[in-house]
Amino acid sequence: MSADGDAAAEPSYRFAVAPRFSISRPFEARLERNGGIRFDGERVEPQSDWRPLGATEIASLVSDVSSRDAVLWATQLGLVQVPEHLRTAWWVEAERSGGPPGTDGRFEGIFSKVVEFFRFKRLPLPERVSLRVSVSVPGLSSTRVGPAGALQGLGFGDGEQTTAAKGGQPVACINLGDETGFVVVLELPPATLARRLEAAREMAPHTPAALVRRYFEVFPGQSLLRVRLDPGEGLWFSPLGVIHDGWTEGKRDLDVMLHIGAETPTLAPAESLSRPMANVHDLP
Amino acid sequence: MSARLGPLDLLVIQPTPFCNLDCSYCYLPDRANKRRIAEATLERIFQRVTESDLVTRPYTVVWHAGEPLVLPPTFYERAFALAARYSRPGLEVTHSFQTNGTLVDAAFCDLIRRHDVRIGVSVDGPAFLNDARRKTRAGKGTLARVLSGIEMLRRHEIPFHVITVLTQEALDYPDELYAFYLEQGVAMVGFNVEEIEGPNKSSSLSAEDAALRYQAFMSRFFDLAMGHQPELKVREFESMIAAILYAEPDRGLPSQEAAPFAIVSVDCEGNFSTFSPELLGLESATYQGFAIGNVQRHSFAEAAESPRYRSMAADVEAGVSQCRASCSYFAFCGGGAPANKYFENGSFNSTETLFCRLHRQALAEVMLSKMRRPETLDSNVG
Repeated sequence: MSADGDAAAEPSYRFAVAPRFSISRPFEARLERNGGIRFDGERVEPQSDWRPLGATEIASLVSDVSSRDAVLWATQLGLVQVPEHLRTAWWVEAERSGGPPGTDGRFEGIFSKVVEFFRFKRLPLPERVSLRVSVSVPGLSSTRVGPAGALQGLGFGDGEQTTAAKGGQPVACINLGDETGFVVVLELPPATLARRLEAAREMAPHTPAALVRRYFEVFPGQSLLRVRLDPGEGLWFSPLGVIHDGWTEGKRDLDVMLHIGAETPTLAPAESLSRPMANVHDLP
Repeated sequence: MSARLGPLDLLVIQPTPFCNLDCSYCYLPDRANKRRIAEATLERIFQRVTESDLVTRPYTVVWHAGEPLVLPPTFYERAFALAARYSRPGLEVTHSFQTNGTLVDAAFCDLIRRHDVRIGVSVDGPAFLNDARRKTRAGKGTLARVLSGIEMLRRHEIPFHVITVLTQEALDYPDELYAFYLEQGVAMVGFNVEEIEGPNKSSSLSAEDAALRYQAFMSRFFDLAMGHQPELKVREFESMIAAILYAEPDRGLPSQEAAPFAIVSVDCEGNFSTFSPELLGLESATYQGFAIGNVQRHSFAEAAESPRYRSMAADVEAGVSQCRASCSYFAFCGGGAPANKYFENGSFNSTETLFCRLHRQALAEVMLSKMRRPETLDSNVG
């Protein structure tokens, strides 16, 4: 099997503008694909050979949820956007209080408003969520940071606050910066990775981190997608788990990302590995 | 003339039926017609108003119905002079334009400032909402031109309010609308609902779940507007709070649209009507039209004696009585909007309409819930 597999036969995520959002930049001007990954010690990082996608590729990656009653399915990665006044409010607080934004109470009011906003939009938010902001310098091909502050490379979790060990799971990331930001994703759900490994007569590991590592060791040519996020825009992940990372190469300003994570995951990546993917097939 | 008529609050003058836009929800059937009002007709309107017993307090002339700014500032200089000539001391006239904003230029800004004209700009929010319904005659979106008009008003430091028509689609976007108003420097907004009137035979808000979605929208918008400093004023919130605070159980606040001659609407031929302004110019099988006279031939008192007016007024009053007897929201409303009753229910002598369910009942529920307890933020933030 090739690194990109038989896309038509395997479950994979599709991109969509989330229901009840209106975002003008088309996916053609938003998605790019690269030629695979590279290893940097223990880290798996995307190669930097990004190229635009053709119309056929875009068509296979994008789905429509334009109906106002639509929901964002677990098989979809949703493009969202926080209103400018919320993004501005975060910056006003950041500049007023100074210092690096953490998870202290200073931003709780703004975070609450962000959560209220997404709840109004009827996005699939877990009952309890955690929000944190990461700030990364330009020039990085990975921005996910582990508990010790080291870069993690591609993975399921979104960093120190929502590691699998804490039972957390990324729900969304939002670009709070004034400059275009990027998130790199693999459009394949964990079960597809496991199936591919099994097809290659490899044992699928039972932890998310090991699965990521092993999958890319076996399929180093597996391409990734880079999603362009304008200021205020974000990507809503699938609860099934999405391999992703940040990307700040080519940026001029600090990369400022708001990460929303589930405090009590509905379906952690580790769990998803042991579940059949039939439920994904069943979804429209 | 009976003492029950008036007092006049709004004199709505249609100087031309023509509008340079072609919005899909517009109820005006004649908006491609470029006729304009003659100066003699205009003078006759103000004469008739002054001669009548309707003016017992200052009133507002609303230049509306058709796009008023398709006529040049020089037209309004003469019109305002006529209005001033016929106004009585202490009962001065305030002028108001309800405009689509696309034709605001420096000359109009100069006129507006000198005459202290109130400006309402019709705009439905960001492009994906506004341009879906508010279109040019060539079918293109209008937002860019509206924003250029708003920018012109701001540059001339002219205060303005905004009227936004809420459609089904808009109910999902309170935050986006709020952000739009902030960005455009809007200090006061009024929400109209897309109504079933005249040629607009259906409303996107007729869907079963519209009231719940409208309620969710208004609740969300209330929190946003009140949380802003200075707060964004919303006409619907202010009027409903006043209604709740001052209404008496069996005596609803008077409905301006249902009050005879509180509103007088005159078209560019001098035909006039009362009750809901949008009635004038629309067809009616029941009354053979809603015009009750023409300023060239009839005084308002004479029109009030006409069989058509008497029939209309009796039906409107009967409809209000029905509302009083059957609607638990009557105290917050006063009897609804006659035009909505007629075009939705087929008669003035009827009760609930889409307008009632949304702008009265759902809104009252939202405001009552906000007044009962302060909104607590359900943060769920860990």
